Amino acid sequence: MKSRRGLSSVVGAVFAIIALSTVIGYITYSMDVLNNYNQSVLIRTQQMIDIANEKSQVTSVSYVNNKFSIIVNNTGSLPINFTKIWITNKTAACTTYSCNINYVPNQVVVPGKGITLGQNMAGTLNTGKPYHIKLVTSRGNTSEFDVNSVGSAPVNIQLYALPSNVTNGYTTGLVMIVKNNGSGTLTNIVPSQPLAGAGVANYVLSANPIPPSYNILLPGSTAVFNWNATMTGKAGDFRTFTASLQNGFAGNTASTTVHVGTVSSVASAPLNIQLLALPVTVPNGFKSELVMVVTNNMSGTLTDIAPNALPTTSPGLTYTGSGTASCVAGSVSPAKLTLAPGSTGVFSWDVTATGEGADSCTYTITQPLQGGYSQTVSAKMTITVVSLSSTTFAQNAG
Amino acid sequence: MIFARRRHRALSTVVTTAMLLTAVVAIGTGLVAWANTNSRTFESILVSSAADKLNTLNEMLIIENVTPSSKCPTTGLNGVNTTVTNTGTMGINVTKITVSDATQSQTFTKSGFVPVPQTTGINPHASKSFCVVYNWQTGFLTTVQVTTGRNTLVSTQVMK
Repeated sequence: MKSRRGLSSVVGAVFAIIALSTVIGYITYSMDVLNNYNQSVLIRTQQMIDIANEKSQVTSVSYVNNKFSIIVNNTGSLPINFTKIWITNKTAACTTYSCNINYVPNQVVVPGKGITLGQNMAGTLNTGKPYHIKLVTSRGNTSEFDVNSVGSAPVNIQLYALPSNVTNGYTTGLVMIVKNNGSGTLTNIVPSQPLAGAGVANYVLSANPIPPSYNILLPGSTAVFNWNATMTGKAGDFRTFTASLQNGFAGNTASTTVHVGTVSSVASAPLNIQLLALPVTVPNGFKSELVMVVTNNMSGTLTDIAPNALPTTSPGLTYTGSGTASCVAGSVSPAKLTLAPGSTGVFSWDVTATGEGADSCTYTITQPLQGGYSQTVSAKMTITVVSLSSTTFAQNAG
Repeated sequence: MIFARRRHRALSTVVTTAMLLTAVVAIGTGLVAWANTNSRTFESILVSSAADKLNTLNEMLIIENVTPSSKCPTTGLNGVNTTVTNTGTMGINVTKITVSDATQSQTFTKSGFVPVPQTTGINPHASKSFCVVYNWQTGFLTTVQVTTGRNTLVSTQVMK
C-alpha cells in the first residue's frame, strides 16, 4: 500500500515537471522576444533622435564655373554625410531626365564646420534658368531651396527715387527694395537695370547697382539695391523708371517717377523753421544740443542751404540769472543741405552751458539761413546745478 | 475464509490501482502532449509575428525625389519618376507605388514599373528609381505613396 501511494506521487510529479517546464520555457522565450522588441524600439528611437539632431544651414549659393557653389554649415551635433544632390531645372517645359541632375557628393561635414557642394557635378548649368536644389543626407533629411527662382512667384518689389524732385543736373538715387515674402529661401537675387519709360527728362544712370546681387535672401528678409541717376531737363520734365529682377516673375516690377523741378530761393519766402534746445534743462558744465529744423514748404528744391553762425553776444545770445552763465556752441552739422519740396532737414550744434542754478541762455536768430528770409526763431536752455547727497556721521565726544 | 478474503482483496486493490494509474498516465500524457503542442504552436506564431513586426519596425525609407518625366524609358509616355532611398539597416522591397491627384489615382505594382525591374529590392543605404506611366497634371497637388513588402507606407506630395 505504501509503495503504491508513492508511485502515484511520482507520476504526478513527473507530469507537473513537464507542464511547468513547458510553461517556463514559453515564458522565457516570450520575455526574450519582448527584450528584442524593446531593443529594436530603443534603436529606432535613437535613429529618430539622430535624424532630429541632424541640422544644417545653407549660407551661400552662387555660380562658379557654371556650376553651383553651395556652402552648407553643420549646425547640429552630429556629422552629416551628404549622399545626394538633386538639381532640377524648374522651367515649366523641362521634364526630361536631363532636367533633373543628381550626383553623389560623398562628403561628410563635422559639427561646427562648413562644406562647399556642387563643384564636382558633371557638366555645367544654364545660369539663366531657375533651379530647385535638394540636398539629401544619409539619415534621410533633406534641405531644399530654390536658386534664382524669383520667376516662380512674384516678390515684393518697391522702387523709390530719393529725392523724387531734383533740379537740372542734379543726381537722385534710385532705391530698389526687394522683400522675400515667400516661405522659401531665394538665392542669387540680381536686379535688372531700371528701364526708362515715359517722360522727356534726360538721365545718366549708373552702370551697375550697389550691391550687384544678393547671394541669399531668407524668408522675410529684404535686399536693397541703389543706382544713381543724374537728371537733366527743364522744369516740369520727368522720367519714369521701372525696376525688375533678372529671370523674375512676369509683370513683377515697380516704378517711380523723377521730376526735374524748379529751384526755389531761401530768400523768397519764410520757411517753416524751428529752433529747439534738447534738452531744455542742462546741468552746469554739460552739453545740450541746439537743433534747427527746416521744412521746405516751397514748390521747388532748396539747394545747398546753410545756417548762419550762431550769435555769441547780445541781442542774439542773452543770459539771465547770476550773470556768470556762459553758452559756447560748437560747429554746425551738417554744413549744408539740399531739400526737395516737402522734405525736412536738421542742423545741430553742441552747446556747452556753464553757470549757476536757474541761469539761462537764450538764442534769438533773426535770419536763420544764409541769404535766407528774415524770420525770428529762438530757443532757451536753463542751467541747473546738481548737488550730491551728503551723509553726516555722528562722532563720539571725548 | 480469511485466507481466501485476503487473496481476493489484495488482487482487486492491485488491479484497481493499476487501472487508476494507467488512466492517470494516459490522461496526463494526453493533456501534457496537447499543452505542449499548443505551446509550440503559440511559440511559432509568436516567432513569426515578432520577427515580422521587428522587421517592419526596422524598415526605414524615404522618397528622395519625385519628378515628372516626359517619357518613361521604353514607352515614350509621360510618367512620374520616383527615387526611393533605403535609410535603414535592412533591405526593403518596393511592392506598390500609388500616384494620385484631384483628378485621378493609379496604383502600380512591379509589372507596372517602366522598365520592369529585375528586382524591386533596395539594399541598405542604396537608392532605386522607378518610373510609372502617369499623366501628370500641372498645377495639381500630386501625392506619391510607396508601399513595401512589409506594408510600410511612405508618401510625399509634389506640385509642378
